Amino acid sequence: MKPAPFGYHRATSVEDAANLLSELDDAKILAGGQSLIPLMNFRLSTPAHLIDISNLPELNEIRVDDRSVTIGAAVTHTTLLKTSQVASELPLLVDAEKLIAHEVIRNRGTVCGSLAHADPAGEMTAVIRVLNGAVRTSSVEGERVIQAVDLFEGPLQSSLTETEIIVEAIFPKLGRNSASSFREVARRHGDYAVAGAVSVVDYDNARSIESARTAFLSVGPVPILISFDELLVDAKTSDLGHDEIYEFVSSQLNPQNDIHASADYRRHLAAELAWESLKACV
Amino acid sequence: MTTRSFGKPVRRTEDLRLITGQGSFTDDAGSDALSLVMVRSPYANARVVSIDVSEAEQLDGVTAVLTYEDLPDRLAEPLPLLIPHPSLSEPRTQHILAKDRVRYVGQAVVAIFAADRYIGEDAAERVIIEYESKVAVVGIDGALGTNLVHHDVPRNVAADHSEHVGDVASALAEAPHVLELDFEMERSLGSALEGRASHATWDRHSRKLQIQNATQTPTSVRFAVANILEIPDEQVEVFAIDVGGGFGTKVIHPWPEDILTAWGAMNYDRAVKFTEDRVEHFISSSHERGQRHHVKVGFNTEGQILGLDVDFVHDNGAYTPYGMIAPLITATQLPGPYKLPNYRVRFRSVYTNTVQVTPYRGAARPHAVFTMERTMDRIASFLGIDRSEVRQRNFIQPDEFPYDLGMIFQDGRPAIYDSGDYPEMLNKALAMIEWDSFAERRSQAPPGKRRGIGVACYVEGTGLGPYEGGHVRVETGGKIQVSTGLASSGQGHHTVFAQIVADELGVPFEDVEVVTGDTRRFKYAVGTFASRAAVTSGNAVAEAARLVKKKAIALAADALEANPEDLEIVDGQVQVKGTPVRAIPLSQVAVLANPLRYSFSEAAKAATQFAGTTSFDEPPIKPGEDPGLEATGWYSPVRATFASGTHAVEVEVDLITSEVEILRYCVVHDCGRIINPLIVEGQIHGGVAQGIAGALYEKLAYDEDGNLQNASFMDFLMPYCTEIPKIEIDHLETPSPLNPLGIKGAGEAGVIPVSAVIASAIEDAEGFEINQMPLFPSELHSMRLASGRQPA
Repeated sequence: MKPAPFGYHRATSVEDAANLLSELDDAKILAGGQSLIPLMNFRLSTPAHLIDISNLPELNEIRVDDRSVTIGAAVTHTTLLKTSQVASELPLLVDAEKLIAHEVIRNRGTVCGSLAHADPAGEMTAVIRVLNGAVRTSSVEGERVIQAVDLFEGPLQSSLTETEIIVEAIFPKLGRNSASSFREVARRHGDYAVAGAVSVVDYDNARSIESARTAFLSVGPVPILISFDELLVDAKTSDLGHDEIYEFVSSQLNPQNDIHASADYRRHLAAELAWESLKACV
Repeated sequence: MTTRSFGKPVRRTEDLRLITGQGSFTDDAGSDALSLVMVRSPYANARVVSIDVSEAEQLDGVTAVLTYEDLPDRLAEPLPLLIPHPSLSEPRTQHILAKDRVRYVGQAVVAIFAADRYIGEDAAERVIIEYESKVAVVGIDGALGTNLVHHDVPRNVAADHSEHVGDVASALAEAPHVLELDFEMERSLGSALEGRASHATWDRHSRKLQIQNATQTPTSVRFAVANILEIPDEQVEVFAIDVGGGFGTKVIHPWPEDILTAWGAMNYDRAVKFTEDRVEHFISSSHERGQRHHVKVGFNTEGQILGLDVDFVHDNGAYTPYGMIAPLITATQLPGPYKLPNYRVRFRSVYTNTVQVTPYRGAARPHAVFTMERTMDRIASFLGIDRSEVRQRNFIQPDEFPYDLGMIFQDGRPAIYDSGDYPEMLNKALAMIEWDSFAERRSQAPPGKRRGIGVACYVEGTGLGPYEGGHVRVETGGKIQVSTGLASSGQGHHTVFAQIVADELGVPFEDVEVVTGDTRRFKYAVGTFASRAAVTSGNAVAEAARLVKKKAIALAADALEANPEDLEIVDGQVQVKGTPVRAIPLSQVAVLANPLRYSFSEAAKAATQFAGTTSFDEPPIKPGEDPGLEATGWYSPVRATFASGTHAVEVEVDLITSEVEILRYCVVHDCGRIINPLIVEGQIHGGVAQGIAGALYEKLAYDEDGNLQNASFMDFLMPYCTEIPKIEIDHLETPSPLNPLGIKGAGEAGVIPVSAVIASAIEDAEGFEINQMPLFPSELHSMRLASGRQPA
C-alpha cells in the first residue's frame, strides 16, 4: 500500500496551479488528499504529478453575501464547521458537515475536494445539488461556472476538464420562507451513508408549500434530485403523507446491491429518509 | 507485611510507555533494512503457468526477486503442520512461495528484496505472472460441491471427526420432544492494530540471527526458523518486544515472510524486514468463525436436554497449518455449563479457496456458544418456559465438580471442569439486567422502536499446558528481574507478573521489572494463546519467586545468625519475624549470594574473599547451591482450568432502519481468583467489543470467484468506540483447585457469547428466528419482509 512514484508541485497561485496542470502530463490537483491519497496508496490512481493547492491563501476563504456562501478550494471541513457565520447564514452546510467522516479527516479534507471527487456518497455533493449551487473553475483557458446539475456525471466522474481546477463552490442561501433538513443512515459513526436525503422546502407567505425537493446520496451514480412540486404545490404542510412520499421516491430510485446493503434496503431507507427530512422542514 | 498487590486494581506499568510512543514494535526497528515485499495471487484457484521477473530485477534498488524455483533446500518444502491430529487425514500446508498452484487470493507467489517498500511495490508491478484460472471453491456450499481445492483431497474433506458420550440415538428416540435446528456463523478476523512483522539481522562475526517478530510464540518461531534454515538453535534468538495485538493470528508460525526475512538476512548479509500492510492482513494472514451447524435436540417437558446431536461443517480455507484445533474446540466447548448425558458431535473440516482458518480470539467458541444458546432459546420457546429457567434446569450444579465431560479437549487431555457456580452466575446476570421487570421496559419502547432482551452462558477451557516457566533474579541494586518465555501482545503481563512476584517474594511492586517473549532471556516456553498466560506463566513466576525467597532466607539466616524458620521478607528486607531491627536487605543478600574475587561496587565488597566468611570448613558455594539470588520455576498443569461467564443484553431495534442499538450490556465473569480487576475488566471490554463487531458489523465478503470484496477498513466495518456501549461487569470468583494461585484465564472470555446473546435479544424484539450471525440492518430488513412483518 505505497503509492507509485509521482512528482509533487506546490502551486504558488491559482494561475501557477492552472499552468502546471496544463503543462504537466497526467497531473492531479491535491487539496486535502482524503480520497486521492488512499486511492494512490492502493495504486488505483497513479498520477505522475500532484499539484498541491492546499496552501494558497486566496483559496482558503469563505465569503458570505446576500445570495450565497462561497467556499474556497482550500477550505477544510473543519474550517467551515468553525465559521460561525456559516451556521447562521446557511445552517444546512453545518448539518451536512456534522455527518462527514471523523475529525481527523475533516481537518484535512476540503469541501471543494469532495465535490471534485464526485462521490455520490458524499454529503456535499447532495447539498450543492439540492441548493442548485455551482462551482467556479479556473484553467489556462479561463474561468467558467459549472452548475451542480451539470457537475456530476457518474461515480467519481465530474464534468471538469483535465486542465480545470475548482477554485470555489457557491452554495445559494435559503430564503426566510425556506427550510432544510439532512438525514442519513450510516453503518458506523462517520461512515459514508448507506442512504441519505437532504430536503429543501420553500413556502409562500401563507405557509403553503411552493416547492419541495430532496437530493439523495448513496442511491445512484450521482446525487439524485427529486422534486415533489407536482405532488405538493399548493398543499398545506399538514397534507404531506408518508405513503405518498414513500411511493413517489421509491418508484424513482434504482440503487445497486453491494456488500453493505441490498438495493431494496437502500431504496426503502432513501424513501423513509426523504419523508423524515421533508417532515423536518415543516 | 508488604502490601499485597494480588487482587488490587494496580495500574498497568505498560501504559505510560505505550501511550507516549515509547513502545518498540517490530516496524520500529530496521529503518535501513531491506524490505521484503510479496507478490500475491489475484486468483483464488489457478495454475501458475509462467513467471517473468526480469523487468523487476532490473529496477534500481532491487536486491533480488525470488520464485519457488529459487528456494533452496528446506525452504522448498511445505511449511510445518503445527498441530497434527488423528482426524486430520488430509493435512495441507502452503509453501513459502506458491509451487505451480495458487489456492487463495493473497497467496505469496514471488518475493522481492528491495531497498524499501516503495521500490518493492514498484518492482512487484513489473513481475509478469501468467495464470490459468480454475473455478474457485468458495463457502461451505462450494466445498460440498464437486470442484476441488486440492486435487488429491476427495470431497475437499480435510478431517471428519466424531465424538460422543452416552447413547444419543436412544435418547433422541425416547425424548418427548425433538427439534432440528440450523445455525451458521460467517467469517471475520483478528484485525490486530499491528499486522504481522519480522525484522531479522545476521551477525556473521558472532554467527547470530536476531529476529524481532510480532509473534505470540517467540520460542516456537526460534525452533522453526532454525529447523528450516538448518542452523543450530543456539544461533537464533527471537524476541517480541512489543506486539500490537495478537488475537490468535500471531500464534501461527512460521509465516513465509518469517523464513524469508531470516534467510534473506543471512544470505544478503543485510537486515531484512517484512511489515504486513492492512490489505495483506485481510488476504494473507488467517480468518476464523465460518461454520454451519445442524442440531438435533431431544428434551423432556421440563426443558431438560436428554440428547444432543450436532453435525457441523468447518470451513478451514485453503490450508490447515494449525490442525483441527478450532473445530475441536467447538466440539468440546459446545456443551457449555449444561449437563448433556447424551451428546454426539461430528464435524467435517473442508477446504475452500480462501484464506486459511486458524483460531481467532474466542477460538471457535463463539460459534459453539451460538449453537448451544440458540438451542436453549428454542427449547424455551417451544415449551413456553422463560429462557433463564430452561438454563437453570440444565446447569451442572456447584456440588458436581470436578465434572467430566467425557471428551478430549484441545490439549489432548480429558475435558474435566474444575470449578464454577453457573446457577449463581446466571442469577447475578439476571439481577444486573433486571430481567424480571423487562416486560415493563418493553412496553415503554419509544415510537418506532421495539425492545428485546437476551441472555447467554458459556464455559471456556483456559490455562492449558504443556507448560510455562519463569525466572526471577534479585539484582544487587535491589531490583527484581523477572522473565518468562511467553510473549505479550497487550495483555498486561508486565503488570500482573510483577504483582505475583512482589507478593510471593515480599518486595514492593515497583521494584519488579518484567521481560516477556525474549529467547535471549528465557528459552523454553509455549506461547500466549488460549487464555493461558496468567495461569501458566503466572504460576511459574510465583514458583520461581518462592524458590528465590527460600534461597534468600537461607543466605540471610547465615548472615543474621538466625534460624531460617524465624525469618520473613517484608518490603524487600529479610528480617526476624517481629524484630525488624534484625534485618538485611534483599539487595545485600543478592551480593552475598555471589561470592566474588573482584569487586565492582561499594556493596560488592561484602562478597569478596577477604570480607570475612562464616566458616572456613565449607566452600563459598555450598554443595547443591548455585551462585546468584535467582531461580527458575515451572508450571505444567495437569489439564485446562475452566472459566465461565454469563452475558445479558437489552436491545432496541429501529422499525424503519432495522438498526440495532444496545441499551445495556451486562457481564458476569468468573476467572477464578482475580490478579488485577482493572486488567480483567479491560480484557472483557475488548472482548465484548470484538464480539459486538462480529455480531453486528464485521464479515468477510468473498465473491463467487474468491475475491475478498472488503479487504480494507473502508469496507470491513470494524466498529469504532462510538459503536460500543458501556459494558457493565460483575465478578464471581470460584478459585481453580488446579493451580496454587487459584486462577483461570480471562483473555478471550468477553468475545465468546456476544453473538449468541445479541441474537437472543434481537429475536426477542422481532419475534422471528435469528439463526445466523453476523446480522446487518439490510439483512434484518429482508428478514422482516420475509417474515411478513412489514416495516412500520
